[in-house]
Amino acid sequence: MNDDSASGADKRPDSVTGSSAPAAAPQWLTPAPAEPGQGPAVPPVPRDHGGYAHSQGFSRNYVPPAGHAPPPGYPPPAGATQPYAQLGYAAPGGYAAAPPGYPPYGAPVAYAPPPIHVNPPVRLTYDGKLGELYLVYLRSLLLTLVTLGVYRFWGRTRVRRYLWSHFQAFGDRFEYRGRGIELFLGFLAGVGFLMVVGGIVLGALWLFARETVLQEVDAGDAATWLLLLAGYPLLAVGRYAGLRYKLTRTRWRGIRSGLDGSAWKFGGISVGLGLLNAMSAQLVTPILDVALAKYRLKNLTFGTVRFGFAGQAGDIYGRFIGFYFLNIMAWIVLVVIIVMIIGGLSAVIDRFGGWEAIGDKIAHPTPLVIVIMILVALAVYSLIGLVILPLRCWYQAYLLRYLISRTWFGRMQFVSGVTTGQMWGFIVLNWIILVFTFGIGWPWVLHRTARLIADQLWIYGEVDALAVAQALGQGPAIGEGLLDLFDTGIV
Amino acid sequence: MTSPMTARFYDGLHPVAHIVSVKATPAELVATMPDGRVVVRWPTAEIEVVSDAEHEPHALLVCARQPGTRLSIEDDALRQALADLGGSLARATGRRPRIAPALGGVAAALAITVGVMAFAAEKLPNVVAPFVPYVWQRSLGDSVVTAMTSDMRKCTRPEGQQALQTLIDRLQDASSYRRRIDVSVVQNPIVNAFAVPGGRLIVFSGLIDKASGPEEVAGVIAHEVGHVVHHHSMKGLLRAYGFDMVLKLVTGGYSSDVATLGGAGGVLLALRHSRDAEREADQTALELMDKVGMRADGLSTFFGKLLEMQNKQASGDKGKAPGSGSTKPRDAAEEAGILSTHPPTRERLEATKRPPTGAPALSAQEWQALRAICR
Repeated sequence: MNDDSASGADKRPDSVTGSSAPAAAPQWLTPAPAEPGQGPAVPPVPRDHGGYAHSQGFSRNYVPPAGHAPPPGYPPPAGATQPYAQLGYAAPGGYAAAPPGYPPYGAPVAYAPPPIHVNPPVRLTYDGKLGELYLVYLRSLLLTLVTLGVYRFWGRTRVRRYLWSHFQAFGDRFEYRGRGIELFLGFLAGVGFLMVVGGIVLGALWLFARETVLQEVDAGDAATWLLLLAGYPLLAVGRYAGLRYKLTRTRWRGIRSGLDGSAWKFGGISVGLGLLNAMSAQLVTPILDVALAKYRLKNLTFGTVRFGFAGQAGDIYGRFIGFYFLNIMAWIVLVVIIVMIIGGLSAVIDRFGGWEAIGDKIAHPTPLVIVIMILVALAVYSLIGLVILPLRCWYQAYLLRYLISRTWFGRMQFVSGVTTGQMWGFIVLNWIILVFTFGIGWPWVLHRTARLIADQLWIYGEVDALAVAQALGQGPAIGEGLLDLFDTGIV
Repeated sequence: MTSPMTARFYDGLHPVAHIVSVKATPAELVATMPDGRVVVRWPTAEIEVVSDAEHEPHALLVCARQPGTRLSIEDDALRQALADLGGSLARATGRRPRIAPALGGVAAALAITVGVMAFAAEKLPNVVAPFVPYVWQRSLGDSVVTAMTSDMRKCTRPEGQQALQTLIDRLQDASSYRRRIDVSVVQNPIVNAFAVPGGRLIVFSGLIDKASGPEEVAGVIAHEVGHVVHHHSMKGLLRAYGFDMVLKLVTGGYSSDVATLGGAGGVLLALRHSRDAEREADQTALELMDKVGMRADGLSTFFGKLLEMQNKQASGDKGKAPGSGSTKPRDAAEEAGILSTHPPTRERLEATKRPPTGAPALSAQEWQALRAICR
């Protein structure tokens, strides 16, 4: 699966390699013959149950499962001309006879299927190399340090340019054409926006509530609370605006992508459902997850055409409820384990002279004590990582598969086969890498993520080139202002 | 060019890739479809390379004559041929850096930069703190004083205030600090005193009430004057700010876990500096008192009293007779170890021992006035 070798060489059987790709030979409506012993290379077959439910529009491009026998006589052998019979249509109510020139209703008709060509499913290709990505990142980090942080907008742009351009779909590379100055101006605009809003609110407080509110609280406290209260909604708004900026700077085959919809509306959905979720003990999490994905995916555009999404929270509630109660049980088990460990250790603790002596040892650490403290912290973390997080990954992987399988673009359909184990590697291992390298492992995390996307996102069908035209305009002139204030990620 | 070389042509209207063969001359670049149709005919001088060879594996060519279109070239030979034409096309070259040496160089430069910045964050505050404009220090100190003492009663009897101020002025005259040091006394039973930025002292009335004589108060005041003389509070603030900034820069500021770990390190570092600052202030206090010929044994008696009070408290709290578990009396600062803001009290007591000689710090009349400051 997602191995970490630095080599970007793509050894997958379905990889599309530049111009040497065979002129996509049309295939009849049969799945690509699976090569034996190629575990992950077998595309995940869309199923009608268990989370891979079809979205509407899928039937137009349906790929039957491998064990599914094709209808008799189908596909016709190459060069065959003989038509095969299809039962005639019943007469619609109110019609006496077929329209002129058509065979009478009810009569069997000779019917040959239209030439629907379905390509075998393909994946994205990522041919970036870990060493190169590290070079890009470390150079940006160096310049960021030397310029006391100003360079980070340009550095982030460079990392994105590297990642985007090493992704290919159908043999064509993605393009990132954002510029550092746009991010920098967006950052300044975000700072200005926050200062204006904060100034207005504090001014209003000063004018109208000087006698009451400001008597009680310090102005600095008021500003902090304001930032916390406004920060949560603004974070969602900033995320959406940042996604829009990134998408409008992304091109594929020269056509620009984009994101319609309002960042403020997204923030409203996010905050409203988030509050509801918090008040209902997290029980509406699937509704929140699907609503946020839906707003983004339905507003996602490529050229003039929008993506489609037909997910419903009801479809995934079963898995979520299972996760919810198993999670509670897992916490109980974890607490019992920890209590038992501490109980078992009480003899050891007494031998060291009780808790007070241990506290004294922690305050005056010798190297041995430091090592023991690190080991204890690691043990607690790994207990959580082994007991609690796999369950969360079980739900997250299911959610991701579901959301992707319910998304379409024109006649294109997406399926992901990401497993619970891969999700664990994505969430937990990436976190461990970041913490243990003090952030220097970031390119490694990016590389792993890019390879996971390339491994587990399958595309069925092709872009209907003539149905998609270039998007109008250039998108927002500056980027990511609010996002950068709250979340200073590198990509 | 002998054999025609291929590129991918995007028309900018629909997402279609056309495989075209490209022919470039110093005058123009021509791209031809397999059926012989010419789709691109750009003057070489007007072609712009929008990709950058450092990050992108293909060269992207655009021309203002045909807006929206682009030629994507991955063929190294063709890229080199285009680059050889010079001008703006020179950027079409596909040079790949040799990873290992470049990575080594960048990593070494990065390590040096981080080292220099960490060194600067550690040492620079000592140099910069005295030069922070006095107005800023003053307003910073005022806000600290307001935050700390807003709910306490101020003790402002003029005779007591006068006595304390005279003592501080004598110590300040003997020091290298050239501005007046203010003092305010607030009513609070805790035995404590602080120095805040901008040369201001806050004294809790508990210190005056529990002192057995003017020497102890004078010793503590001289210690706080020592903090002011060395700008310790300003240095601490600057160091915390600088360390925080270096940490944010290095980690990119994106992971709260990393920030927590690093922040804990920063706190430990600040505490170590705080302990050093206390030792320095003790030393300066003794020097100043010796210089003005004042009796200087008050500081060590004060520390002795502090230890005594801790032991009484501890035995009262825990119902444990002092010396029952261990023969050594308790010392909170020593127990806290690396988590303490102050060095072990016993160590300070030993370091500040002085003979009980010299002029008294305050006259009997001044001492009475100071004790009555809160009435």
